[in-house]
Amino acid sequence: MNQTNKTVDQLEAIQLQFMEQWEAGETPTLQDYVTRHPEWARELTDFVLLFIEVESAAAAVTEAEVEGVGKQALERVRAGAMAPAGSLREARTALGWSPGRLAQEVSREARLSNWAVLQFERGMVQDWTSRVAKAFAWALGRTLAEIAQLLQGSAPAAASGHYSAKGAPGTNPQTIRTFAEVLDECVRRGEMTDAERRYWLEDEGE
Amino acid sequence: MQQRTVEDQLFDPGEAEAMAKEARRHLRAAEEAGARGADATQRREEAAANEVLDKLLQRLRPRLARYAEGPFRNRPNYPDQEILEVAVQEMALGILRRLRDPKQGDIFERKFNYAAKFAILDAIKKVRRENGTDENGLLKDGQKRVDWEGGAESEEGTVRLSLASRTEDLQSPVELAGVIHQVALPQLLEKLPTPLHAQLVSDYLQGLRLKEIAARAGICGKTATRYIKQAFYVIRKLMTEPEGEQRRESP
Repeated sequence: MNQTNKTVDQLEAIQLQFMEQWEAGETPTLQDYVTRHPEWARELTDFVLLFIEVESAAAAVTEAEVEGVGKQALERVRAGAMAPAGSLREARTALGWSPGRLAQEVSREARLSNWAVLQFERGMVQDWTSRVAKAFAWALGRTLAEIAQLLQGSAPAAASGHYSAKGAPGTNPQTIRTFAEVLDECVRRGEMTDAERRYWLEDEGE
Repeated sequence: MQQRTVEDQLFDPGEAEAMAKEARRHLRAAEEAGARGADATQRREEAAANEVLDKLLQRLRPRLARYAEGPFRNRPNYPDQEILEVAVQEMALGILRRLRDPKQGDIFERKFNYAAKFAILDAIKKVRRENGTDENGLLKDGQKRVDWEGGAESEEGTVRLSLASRTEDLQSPVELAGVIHQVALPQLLEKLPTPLHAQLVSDYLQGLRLKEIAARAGICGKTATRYIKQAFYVIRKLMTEPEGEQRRESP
């Protein structure tokens, strides 16, 4: 994990250098960068082409053309990623995401099963690890502490509501599962390997 | 030397960095309060951080909108308001993610514009990937939808390539040409399927209008567009594939 972070940091440092040169009006060359950093040839080529395309495109847009664009987006962000803690489902809905979108986001970025994320969204999981909290924080643009608040306390209430909606009164303790039990179910469903289960159950120090 | 970015017209980087610093100071205080179990303080600090972040994003909105508008304006169903809003939302979320990350957030306090640019580029790739193209705006069959299919009849009835048309007042085609030249353009052109492909790309990179490019080649605009699409597909493959994997092919 540290090695990965280190190399990603190195790539970003190289990209940053390119941007600084470009934006200072110098003429950095892709050839030069690829020659100096052959291990990043593909990433640098993609980055440079996208960067130049995006800069050119953005520079051709006038402020008048984008009058009002993004207001709705920032309203959603304010309600979803910056609102006082509610629940994962509320945060997802506020961002305008369709049901299951949080699961897609987390699944894509962190490779956690869709079904497992949905259990969290529904408030059906009573505990969590820092790894899964980090995955939610990344998807929703929140801090780990905020994710803890979103997860905390919502499980019993949501489970109770879920159980009541099915026609039975009160909270069914069987309905709420531990994160380990959710992962066991994922393995049973064939959505996760044992190694992945162990990975998710480990707490990750800051 | 000439500056080539848009942000200096919109937001003073020093001000943005000061706001990022303030927001991160509140976030650190919230984290410390959380660690010692001071819930009320933690919530207060988080609210203070969010207030600063909200102001920051509001100030950034025009800039984010421009970065959303440019790369997505040439989609076939333009103007697609929803995709612009989604792009701005993803940009804002990306900035929040990075800013709130204890490890990644530090750069916002020193080089805000560059840190934000990483989040913006990531968001563009993501929205493209989720809306029918890959991260580079390429369809699965290798055709570049975002760049090429927006070519439309202008008032004068002239079909123009969208990349050229949206950068006509800039040096961008020349700048793009510069980048490609530096990756040995002559060698790249030699590897194109036909000399006509090479001629059309060369003319395009000089910033000529499609009508002029087609006239010089003695072909119609649609054929020229198709050939240039094929040529850029091959160029991109040549530039991104390892030497041993390069093949002469067209989409």
